[in-house]
Amino acid sequence: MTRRGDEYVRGLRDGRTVLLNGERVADVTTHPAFAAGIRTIAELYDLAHDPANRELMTYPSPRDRRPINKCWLVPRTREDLAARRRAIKCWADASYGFLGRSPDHVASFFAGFAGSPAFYARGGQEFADNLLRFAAKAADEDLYLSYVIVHPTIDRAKSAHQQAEPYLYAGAAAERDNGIVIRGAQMLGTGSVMSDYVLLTVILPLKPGDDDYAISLRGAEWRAWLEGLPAPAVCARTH
Amino acid sequence: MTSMSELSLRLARPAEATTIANLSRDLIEYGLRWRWTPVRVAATIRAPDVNVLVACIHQTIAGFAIMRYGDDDAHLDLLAVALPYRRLGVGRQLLEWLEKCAIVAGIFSVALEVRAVNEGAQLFYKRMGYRTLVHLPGYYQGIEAALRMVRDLSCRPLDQRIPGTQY
Repeated sequence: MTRRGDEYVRGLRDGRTVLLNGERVADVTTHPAFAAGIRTIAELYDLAHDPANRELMTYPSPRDRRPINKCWLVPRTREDLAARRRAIKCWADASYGFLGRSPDHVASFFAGFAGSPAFYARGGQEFADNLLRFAAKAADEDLYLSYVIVHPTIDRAKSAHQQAEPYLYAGAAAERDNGIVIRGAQMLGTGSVMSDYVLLTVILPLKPGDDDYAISLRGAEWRAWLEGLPAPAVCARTH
Repeated sequence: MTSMSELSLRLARPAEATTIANLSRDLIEYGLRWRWTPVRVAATIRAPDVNVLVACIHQTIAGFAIMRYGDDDAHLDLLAVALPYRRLGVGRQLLEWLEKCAIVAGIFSVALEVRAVNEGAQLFYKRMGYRTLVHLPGYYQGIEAALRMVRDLSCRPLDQRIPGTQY
């Protein structure tokens, strides 16, 4: 079900680790670097939650019929696409288009992923099941997802596995019975500090031998380092 | 020799308004009063319901296209490819990029006008799946006739159909 803005803000007070120029931010919701941005996101949630906007901004969850944001709608028809566009435009208009990574952005990726579970099932049905389960949870709980999608800028003449240190880029450092261990950093995490989950993935073409860096996962426990050049990075760590 | 791998598509920047306007004057509006002036193109680049797309080869604008998006349909205002870059697929890539934006937005109808005497352009649009809807005498400033062509984006052009798939 759609969340109110204050519910979203309360969710950010989860003890997350955010380092800004070497100092830990105790509460991102009140820190001057983030408070105004978080307030703006909260206003978007209030807008979508407002009963006056219910038809424009929401659709009934296929699980419990409660209203959820249309950014989670898996489009099956032209009308679905148009409905998604109207809802997303409403949010974009509310921020005058200045929020390039508002909550609908990565949510729309997940709507696309959830529309093609067969693709993920190629590696095993459990992957498709995981994806659909998380997409449903994110939609029903109205979560704000962000992503980190490119490797840190280090030596672009070399592919991921050829870097001097193997875990500069986020990659699989070990494989255990209960999952994989990810080490390294990943960048371009716009909105990560003020989001509920981070999708760690990579959009750059990988090369033969880069298998350990071909990862795509989401994390709730994560640490963000926001520092001046030369090494701004956001690191995601999964459960 | 120009190759398509050197081509990149991106939204136009305000500083490129004059270049785009000049291309329109020379390649599209020849013989007519110049309507797509730099001021108008700059305003169009800023407009929230319009995409002004440029195709660049190295640092040169090889072509551009302008599509206006409504609630239920879209309109291709302009599309041109500079002479040295024609017959390379630049126009097709420009149009397909803009059409994809329409599809994602749930807009499945695109209309455009083309000079009635410009058979080359009409053939290009036919190959892209457009059909002639109506003949418009004097459409261009009372001087020249146009054809209005439309495309239903839910239908793929014949040469893009996937064998075995029903449309």
